[in-house]
Amino acid sequence: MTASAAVAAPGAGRAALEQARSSRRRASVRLTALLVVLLCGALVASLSLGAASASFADLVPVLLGDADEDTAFVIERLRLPRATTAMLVGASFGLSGALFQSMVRNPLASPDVIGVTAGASAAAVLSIALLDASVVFVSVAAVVGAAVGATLTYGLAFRRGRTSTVRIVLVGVGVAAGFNALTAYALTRADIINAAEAQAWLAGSLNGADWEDVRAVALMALFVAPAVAIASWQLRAIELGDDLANLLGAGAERSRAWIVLAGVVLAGGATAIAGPVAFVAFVSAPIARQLARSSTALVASALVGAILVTSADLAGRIVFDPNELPVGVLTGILGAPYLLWLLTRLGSISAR
Amino acid sequence: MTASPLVPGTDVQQAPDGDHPTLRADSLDLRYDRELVVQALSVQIPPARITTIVGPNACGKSTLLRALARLLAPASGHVLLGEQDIRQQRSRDVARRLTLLPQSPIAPDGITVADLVARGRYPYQSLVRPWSTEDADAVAAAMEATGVTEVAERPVQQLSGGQRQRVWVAMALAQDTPLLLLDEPTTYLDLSHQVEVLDLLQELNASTDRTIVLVLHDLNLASRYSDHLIAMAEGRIEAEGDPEAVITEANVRRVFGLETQIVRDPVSDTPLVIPVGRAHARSTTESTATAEELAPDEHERSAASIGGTSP
Repeated sequence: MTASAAVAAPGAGRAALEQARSSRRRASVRLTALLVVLLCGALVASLSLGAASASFADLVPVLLGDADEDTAFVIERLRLPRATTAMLVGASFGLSGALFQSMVRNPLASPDVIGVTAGASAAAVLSIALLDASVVFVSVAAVVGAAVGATLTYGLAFRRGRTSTVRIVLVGVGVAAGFNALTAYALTRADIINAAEAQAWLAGSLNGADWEDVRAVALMALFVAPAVAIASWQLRAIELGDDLANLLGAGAERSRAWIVLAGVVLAGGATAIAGPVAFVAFVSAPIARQLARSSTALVASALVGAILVTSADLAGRIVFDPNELPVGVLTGILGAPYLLWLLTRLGSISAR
Repeated sequence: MTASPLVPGTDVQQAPDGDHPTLRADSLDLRYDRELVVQALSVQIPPARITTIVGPNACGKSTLLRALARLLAPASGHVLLGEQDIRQQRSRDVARRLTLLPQSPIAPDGITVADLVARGRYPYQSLVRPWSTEDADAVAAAMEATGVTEVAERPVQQLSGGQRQRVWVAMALAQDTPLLLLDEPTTYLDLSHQVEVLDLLQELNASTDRTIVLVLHDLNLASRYSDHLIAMAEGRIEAEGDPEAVITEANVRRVFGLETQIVRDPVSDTPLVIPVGRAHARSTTESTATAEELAPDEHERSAASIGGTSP
């Protein structure tokens, strides 16, 4: 085999490489197109299905601006902002999960397992329940809380510059438990109306999402986009491990800082808007990696997250009609078994 | 087969520093946690040669290699790449001149061979200029040199141990550094794959004048494939130089605490280490003596008998 490669015509390697690269490119374009189509389907379904009278047939006139007032209201004011928020929140969670998981090289190191989302929740609930704060304040508090959660987990998991996946996961679970206690405390101290609002938010709900929420997530996405771009580039080195990242000139510490920054803002921002929508960050990237058959698939992870949240929100809205199930309950039903399955494999993962 | 120099040494000596940046260490102290692993070590790596560091477990050889590749900050002393301290140079510049293949690296889940080898081009790329024809040339050449072209589209995890090791070597080659350090590149490989990897490194050294620094456990392979040997024990260099000079019974006893006999490698005419072992410790000294005494007799007798039976 070695011999045949050695005598192969010069340029054979070049041709094989070009072929490998272009087939990978084609596969990723195909996958992205497929996911975009699925997402569009979920969006159209979200806009046309529901308790109110507006239906699929009403969509076109609404988009053209010549629908009757009631239908326009239902679609433009209720369903469109809600579906858009679902999409953006899902994409943020999916991307955040992909960044964290690839950086630590383990699916368990997702923001909703290692205390990042829990930190965001605690900060947000504290500001909703005790301070009765505005949306902007809650968002900033959630991002700060996410950063505190990430810092605590990594700070405690590293000992003399070294850590292991098991340590990160165990410390993360501890950090998350601490934040959950803080959240529970805030709920008991709040007055009944604020507590109810915080409780609804905690379940991870998109009920009542409006254009203000869309603006908030879009703003956050815009702000974090450069960091995500840098992080995605540096992930190419850091996902090979700290030593190889340093040997490739990437600087493991600096790379990690960018990736954590991008991941924390995405997870914190999304949590602020929709609550800790359970397990979306956790399951999106592994699904995307499976579909893409590659080591990291950031775009696909974002799309999978968007599809998951949009369709889970739709399902929560229509399946249990006239009651409404919060989106986080549905994603939780999907994510919990996967988490359990991964935890049963934790021994073999850490043994590698 | 006669002994021949692995590299025609004459012309490489005058090579300018630009092609062969020198690598040396100046009175290094290296610590892991609190423990001093390497103490006051100075060493110069001969350019365009194959240098192998040998020594018993925990003698500090991998630690030294990590410090030379700036993965470990010295407690005191310096590593100089060219004329400058390696830790004061831009990491991207260093990454274009020196790399290390760590011991048993782990590939990310699902990555393909071509993708992994392409990661070696990271120091030449940026977010705004992610891929160039030079990158394609270097990756293709690295895959061809290591014979992994046919498996370019396969996931790395599906490959056998030997193939996987070749893929990692390919990634290091794609980085196109004049200095290539490898930490036990033959670990976990069977003998044929060990020889294959070392042959590959030897060919690379001969064809491209790369400076290669290895850590190896096998003294016989080390003395066969190296131009220069560094024998370490307890964080110090105990012997250094030509394999002929370093691999002696006295040195092996001092460095490894092991009784051996050194014979000639019948294939490469380099030193071949035969460990004595406790079971043979007494009997060998006796039997060699006896053999030497008896030998002339034996020869005469057999010669005589042959002579006797021939017509």
